[in-house]
Amino acid sequence: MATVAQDPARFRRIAIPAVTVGVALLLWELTVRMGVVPNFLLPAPTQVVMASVADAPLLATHAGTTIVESVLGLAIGVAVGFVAAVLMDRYETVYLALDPLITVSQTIPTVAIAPLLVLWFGYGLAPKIILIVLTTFFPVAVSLVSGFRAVDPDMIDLMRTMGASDLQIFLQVKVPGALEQFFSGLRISATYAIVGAVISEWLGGFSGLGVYMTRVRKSFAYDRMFAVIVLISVLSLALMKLVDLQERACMPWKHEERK
Amino acid sequence: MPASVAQKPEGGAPPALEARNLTLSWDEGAHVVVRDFSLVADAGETVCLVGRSGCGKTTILHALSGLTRPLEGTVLLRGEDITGRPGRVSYMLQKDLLLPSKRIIDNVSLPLVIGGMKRTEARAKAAPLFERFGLAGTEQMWPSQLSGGMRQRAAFLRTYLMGNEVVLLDEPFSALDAITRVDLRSWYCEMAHGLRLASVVITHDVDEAVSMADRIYVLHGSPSEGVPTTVAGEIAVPRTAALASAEVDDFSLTPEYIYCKREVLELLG
Repeated sequence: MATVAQDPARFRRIAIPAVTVGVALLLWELTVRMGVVPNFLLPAPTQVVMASVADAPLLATHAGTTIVESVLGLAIGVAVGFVAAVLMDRYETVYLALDPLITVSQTIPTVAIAPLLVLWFGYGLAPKIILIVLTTFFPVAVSLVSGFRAVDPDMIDLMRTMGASDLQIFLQVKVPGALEQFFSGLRISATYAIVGAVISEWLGGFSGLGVYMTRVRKSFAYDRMFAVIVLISVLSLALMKLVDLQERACMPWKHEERK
Repeated sequence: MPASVAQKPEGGAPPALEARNLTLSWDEGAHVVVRDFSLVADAGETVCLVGRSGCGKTTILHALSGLTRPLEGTVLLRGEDITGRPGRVSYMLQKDLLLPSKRIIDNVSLPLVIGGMKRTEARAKAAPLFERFGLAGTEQMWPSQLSGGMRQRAAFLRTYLMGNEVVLLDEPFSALDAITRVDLRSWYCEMAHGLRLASVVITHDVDEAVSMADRIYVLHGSPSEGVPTTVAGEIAVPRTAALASAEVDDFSLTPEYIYCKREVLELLG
């Protein structure tokens, strides 16, 4: 593998966005320092960093809650999405029955149903998990169904001439064939998971980044609020990166072919 | 080998594959595609089905493989009725259909795994055959790392490992470039003959049919215009005799080759 320095194209791919971010941060810092925007409305990046450091133990506790909710919700969402996709692929009736419902369920805004979930299930873990499951199962189910359906019908015929059972066709052909689509769905679900957790925490709860965010907003501590926002982004990115690493591990043929 | 159920009362063992009076349709009989199709292929023999595109050649192979059930007629494997029962004859398509998610060794040994063999055992059984199929050194590669010709060789090995005496081939060489096609074709004929396989090959290329086949079934008809396809004629290719009497060692340079080709073309109409 070529290092960054040896590969000009790769260098540009990293350097150019890095410069963009650097310039944006610098402009932001200057805008605040020169008093263009009042400091109590907009903290400077350096202040945000300092707030993060000062709040680190507290942020970590709250982040822990959010991570547990997200990962648990995502895991259940993926499992539900997988089961739904398998049933929809296997039985045309299930597909016809569920397809419109699933699509409609996605047009309901998360922010609108979150208060209802709190009303029904209280301030504990349940409403958060339910909200995350509702938002994350959809990308997984849809991408898996289209992945299963994209399998070459000739391949299925060939498997049948080998005497393969439906289960063997599913495990040997359909599942590996749908992996790529599955992971692109999972990547989207991973970002939904963190955001879903934070939104449901806004509306009620005892800990979590959303709860903490509501508190610091009420006390006008905007530097801390920005620190939370940055942390949420970082968590989302980390979760996406985790999905990417998992994809690489699950699909070695995709990354080895260019050797 | 499964025990053959019905021995013919007179004459030796029943042929490896026999199709009797098949009538085939798309859409459950509303539209007859092939009428009264019969065929015999014995061990060590290659028979070709030649016909224009859309005449129902693939429909015939589907019926022979058991993937579809004919409206009428039976398919016999060594005398045993296998009509509409897939899994008893090997089938290979124009596309190599290698699974991108499996290394070559696992792709070719897939039929063994499907048959219930452990993966390590299946690999051990497939590995010694790589040399013979011209695939040495590709065991651990992914299909995407192989050329079209090599992928097709892997598909041949997988077909062979299905372990059946009868092999159905649907235009197996047509996706390859001209040189690879000729090489692979003569390699296949030699190997199939050596392994005593009964091959049924579909092609629309008359030259391919005459150079490969021991017997050619010429199909005629256009189902899309309401004329069901039937066998217009059956031609035996006198390859051995032609080569014995000729001074050349290339069958395609003999007068018999030209004669066969002309006959096929006339029957095609």
